[in-house]
Amino acid sequence: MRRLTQDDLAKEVDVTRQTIISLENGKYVASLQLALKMAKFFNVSVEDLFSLEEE
Amino acid sequence: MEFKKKLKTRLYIAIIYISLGIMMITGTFAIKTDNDFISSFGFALVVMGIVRIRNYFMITKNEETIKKQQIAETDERNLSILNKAKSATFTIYITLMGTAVIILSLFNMRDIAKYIAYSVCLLVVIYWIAYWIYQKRS
Repeated sequence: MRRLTQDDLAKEVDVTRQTIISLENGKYVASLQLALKMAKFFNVSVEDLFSLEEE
Repeated sequence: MEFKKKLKTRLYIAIIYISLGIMMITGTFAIKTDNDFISSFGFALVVMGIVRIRNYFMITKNEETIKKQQIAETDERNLSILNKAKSATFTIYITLMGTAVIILSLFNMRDIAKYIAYSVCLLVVIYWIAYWIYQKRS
């Protein structure tokens, strides 16, 4: 099975690779639309991918 | 499809830039004026138009480059950065110009201070109008 690259994911959800990198590093918070697109792509719920940061 | 239309519009705008630029340059020579500003502005418009046309052909080379450009322009992180940069520019501009108005007034350069103050006021008025429109829309 081929591993999913940042570029592949970026193309699937219509964003740049830099956005995926920033999301992974926690530098950027995804919009609801992007979060939903990613959840749909991975076939999981949004909560499985993202969580609220504790204050 | 919508993005391709947008690109086409940009191409037409570039052609308008070049036409306007050529008119400004030839107009300056035709009326034999030493107004460097108009011919320089015309030259800048021509260069800008050429760069835009070059960009158009680079982007529309194939479907992949179009898609790549579309993603780069609609990427939410890029848009967020763009908005933050615009917001910072607005704040810095207002602060700098406000300071300039005070300093110029202190040195009795009231005429320049007045025009700067007008431009700042205009900017603030445009901001409030835009704010009001977006508030109504959302």
